[in-house]
Amino acid sequence: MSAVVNHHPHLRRRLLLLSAVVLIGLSLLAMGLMVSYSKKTADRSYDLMLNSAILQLANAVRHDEQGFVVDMPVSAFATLAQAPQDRVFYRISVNGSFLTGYHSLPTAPARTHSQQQLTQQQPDFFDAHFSGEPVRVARLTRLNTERQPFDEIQIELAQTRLAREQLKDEILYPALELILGLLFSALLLLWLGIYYALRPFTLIARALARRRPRDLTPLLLPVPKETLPLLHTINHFIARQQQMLERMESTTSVAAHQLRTPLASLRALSENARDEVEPAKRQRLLAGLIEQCDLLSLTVNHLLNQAMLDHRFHSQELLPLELNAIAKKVCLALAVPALQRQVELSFEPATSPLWIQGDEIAITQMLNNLIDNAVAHAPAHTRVEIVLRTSPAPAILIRDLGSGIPPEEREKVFARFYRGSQHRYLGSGLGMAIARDVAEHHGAGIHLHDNEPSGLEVEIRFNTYRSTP
Amino acid sequence: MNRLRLALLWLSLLLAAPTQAAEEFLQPAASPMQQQLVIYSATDYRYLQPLLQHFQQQHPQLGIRFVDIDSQELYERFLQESPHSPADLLLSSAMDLQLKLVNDGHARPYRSIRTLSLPSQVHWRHELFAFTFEPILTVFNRERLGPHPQPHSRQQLLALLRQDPDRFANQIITYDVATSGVGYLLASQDSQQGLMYGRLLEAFGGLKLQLDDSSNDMLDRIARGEAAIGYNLLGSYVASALPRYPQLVAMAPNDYTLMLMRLALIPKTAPHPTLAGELIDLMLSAQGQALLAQSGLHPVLEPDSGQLRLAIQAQGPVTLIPLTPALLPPQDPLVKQHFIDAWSGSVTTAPTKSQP
Repeated sequence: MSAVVNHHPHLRRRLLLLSAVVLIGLSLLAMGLMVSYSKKTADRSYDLMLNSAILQLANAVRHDEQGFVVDMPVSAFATLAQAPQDRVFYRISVNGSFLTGYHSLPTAPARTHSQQQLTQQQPDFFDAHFSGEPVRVARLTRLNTERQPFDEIQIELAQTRLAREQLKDEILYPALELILGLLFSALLLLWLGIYYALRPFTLIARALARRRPRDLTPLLLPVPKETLPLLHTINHFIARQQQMLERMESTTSVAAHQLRTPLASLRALSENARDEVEPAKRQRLLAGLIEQCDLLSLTVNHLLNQAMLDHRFHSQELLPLELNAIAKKVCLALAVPALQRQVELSFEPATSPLWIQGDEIAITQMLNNLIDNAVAHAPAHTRVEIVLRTSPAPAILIRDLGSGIPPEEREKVFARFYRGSQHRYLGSGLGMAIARDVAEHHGAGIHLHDNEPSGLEVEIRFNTYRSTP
Repeated sequence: MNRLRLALLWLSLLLAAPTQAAEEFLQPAASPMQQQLVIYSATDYRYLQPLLQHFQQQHPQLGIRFVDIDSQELYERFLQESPHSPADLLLSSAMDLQLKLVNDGHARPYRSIRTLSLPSQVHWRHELFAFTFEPILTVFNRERLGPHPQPHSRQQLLALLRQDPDRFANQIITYDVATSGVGYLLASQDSQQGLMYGRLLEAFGGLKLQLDDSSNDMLDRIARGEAAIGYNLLGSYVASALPRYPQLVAMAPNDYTLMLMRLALIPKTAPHPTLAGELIDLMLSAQGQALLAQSGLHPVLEPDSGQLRLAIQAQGPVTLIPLTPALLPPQDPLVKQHFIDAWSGSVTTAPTKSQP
């Protein structure tokens, strides 16, 4: 049992896991974007500073009679001191040869522009590594037009990344905190949502578990609209259980009564027969005794049949059945007992096969009871007709030429242990009731009509049928 | 083996040392010596001795070798020895040279509870720490001024020189920017302050300058009357000379007074960086600052407060030379050479060039 339970999927865990994976994925994506955004923003701010410094530096290189000189602008370096903890490196080259600064400063990736260079308006920026630290480098090329041919002055200005990293962190960390905060609140809300969504099921389960075994009243719980169908279904199920139980109780008490009366009468008859000394009277009493035994036997038989059918109705699947074949089989089985009562059976199958979903034993039982009844009510030397037809609806008709049933009694004959106003024949009072139970179980209607010229026509009308299984 | 090689290296460096030989002081350990801390300092031994002794009391097995050396030489010697320099600590008031060492990646960062609470102006990157400051003063021999009143600004000094050139010819003494690191720093800072220094330099050039590398020597010469005016001398040396020589008066120019800071750094190659860091902690503690103050230096932090607060009040004309990369441009070799050439040119060939 527990192994089966373990195989049940944990809906709550799955929902949480799936949403958590999606949410965490989204958060990671957002974090990744924030990391690159904050680096870009920090670089952009400090690149402006580097830009301004390198432009000042570019203007400080000039040519005089002793060659190239640099009026190194302190202001440029003071500008860079806005990143107060960062080291600064520079290199100035003229026509490709080193003039001053840090000789081993890393060279920039090659420019994509053509060889025909002009003085650059804005420097190029790139990241590199120098003197044990990551650095941001700006490179600017300027043409000195004072001499022919023009001199190409290249200035590279580099700064370590401490201030940039700090600014990046200042942008990044609040954003990361926000993202994490959102992630955790979303997960919490999700958890709460799932808890509240699944809570009605727990409530229903708990309410069912708490019930006393005899309590079959409907469940009354304040569940949300979405869970109402489940509650209705459960209540419907309970109601059916209740009905079944009630029917069983009444059937049992009626059956007990029906068995006790014939047993008492059997005992009385037996005593009378024992005490009767006159042989003729004694013969009559013994015949009555046998009749009572037959009746009791029939009643017991019907009761057992009904119990058996009740059980089948609750346990057996309906299977495809062909009605012509079943009806024929029943007729064949009953033909001989009927002939003993000097009644003929005539069987007229339908022109095409009549397939229904049904329980063969139950259908057989129903036809048995109805044909038996018809034979019992048929006068001697008459014929009971069993006709199957396909239109207007598929139906089985059982006709006899007996005295019929007055219209006001036609509903009552289906009640259990009803034996009609006049005891026309020996019956258990259960045959018709069983027939109707079987018909209803198959979704069929059972109707009683007058037969021409006299007698009763029983019609079992099926709602669904097919010409193939 | 290693010790022998170091000794040989040391010997060869001594032999190769330029003009001014470094002065060495050994402070032996109280108990058998286990370690020797090597300090290269451009500050006189006597100013730091109390502090170092105090440090040795905390570390009885520690010996100290103190190399007293000019700031420019200190810089060059360290670079020559690198990466096998025995120095654990470099102390110098040539702020630009010290900062350049840090910028070029020769320093090791040091962080302690003390240094982390320092005001931002007195350290750079946790690799360079200021521990004292020096106001830059001009000193006069009152007797040599004659009838003239003592000037209080560069303008008044210039007016004085123009008024009585004969009296002051060959009577002005200052740092030689070509050989003194501090001298170069002060000259380059002066030249950034405006046009006044250019005019003053022209006047100096016209009158001929005496050049020197040591504040103490210059003060002695002024006291002896060999010079009447000493320009750009370190305040703590002046302060200790004034009681000895009553004929001297000092001026903090009220147009602007430069203020430089004495800086300590631990080389990346230091054999005993932890000890050096502890010494920096001591220097920057209230006790260390008090010891430095007792020996005549100006502590950079307010001694009484538990918090480290900058003792210098930037008021009026005081210009604190900031500890930023703005100190780098004058150290560019091209710039430096150009500046020194121009400076030397103007102070020696001034007569032909002045008064255009």
